[in-house]
Amino acid sequence: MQIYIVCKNANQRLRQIRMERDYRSLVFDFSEAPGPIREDIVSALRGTWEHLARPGTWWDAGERRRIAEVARAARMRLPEPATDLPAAAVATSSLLAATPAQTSEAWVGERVAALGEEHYVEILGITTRVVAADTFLRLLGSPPEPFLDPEPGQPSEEAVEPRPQRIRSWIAVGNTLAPPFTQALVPSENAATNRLVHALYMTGEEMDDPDFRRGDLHRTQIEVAASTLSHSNECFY
Amino acid sequence: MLSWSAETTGREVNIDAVADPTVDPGVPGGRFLTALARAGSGTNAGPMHVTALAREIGGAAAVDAAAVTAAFESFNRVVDGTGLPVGRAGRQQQASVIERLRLDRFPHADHV
Repeated sequence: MQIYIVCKNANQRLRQIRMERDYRSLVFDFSEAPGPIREDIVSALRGTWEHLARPGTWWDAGERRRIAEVARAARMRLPEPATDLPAAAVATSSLLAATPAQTSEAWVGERVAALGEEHYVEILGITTRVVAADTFLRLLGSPPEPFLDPEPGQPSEEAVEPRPQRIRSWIAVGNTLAPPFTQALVPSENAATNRLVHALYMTGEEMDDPDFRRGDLHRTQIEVAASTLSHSNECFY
Repeated sequence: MLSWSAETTGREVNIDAVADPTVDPGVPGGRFLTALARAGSGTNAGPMHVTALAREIGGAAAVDAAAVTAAFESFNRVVDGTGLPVGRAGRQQQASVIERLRLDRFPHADHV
């Protein structure tokens, strides 16, 4: 019983320290924004940063942070940060962040051969979330949010069983060929990306409603913004 | 999604605005929405676009439009990074939009 109480107290203290650290060091300064930021967006952004700071499934937290730093720099065409990441990891994050339409089946195949398919998918997840969050902050006149210090620990290396199949996509995504399932090889990344884009865009249920309104913003306005951005990125999907 | 939403809800939207910055899409704040989205895909985005949009449709809606723009910065990379195909049926369904906006010149247009 005594041991149980000691462990429980230690866990509570650890949780408290983690919360104090996160809420002290995460800023997400929206003071320049012309309107209120929805609480679910703020929560999703905080969650994204906290998830990034934890060991992943195939990369440890330090590597995940360095992948994020590469993505951030590449997206803004800034010099590549010095890093000890494998060259294929840097190339993957850089191209996905800067010029995603330049990918091809051969290019993805080469990166996967060098890194492993799951490692590639985790880089994709980190990169896309950092680019999305940075874009939101930039559009609102907010400074880039510093990344949290990486937490210690090893990647879990939990493989998905049964392994999703590769059908007509370049990465194994399983039977459902739709964006919410594209990171099926690394469920933690898939869930993290979905949490963020559901807050920024809409949930799957809301997507089924052509008359959906987000406050004063009608679905047609939402899709005008989405389609224009996708066209600018030369995204055919 | 844009054509579907417009047609289903009986709203007229000029989809040419997606490709041509001189065209007004015909929705409230339309030109400012497309300017914000284009800025989001570049490297020079700043608060001026969302501030201008806020004057047209209100601050909260402008912030939400910036959020949508950010979400599609993720979506675009997810589909291009995994080679998610549109599929033959999807391509056929969107044939008129593809032709009108000349989307078949995009790098992944042949991947079905």
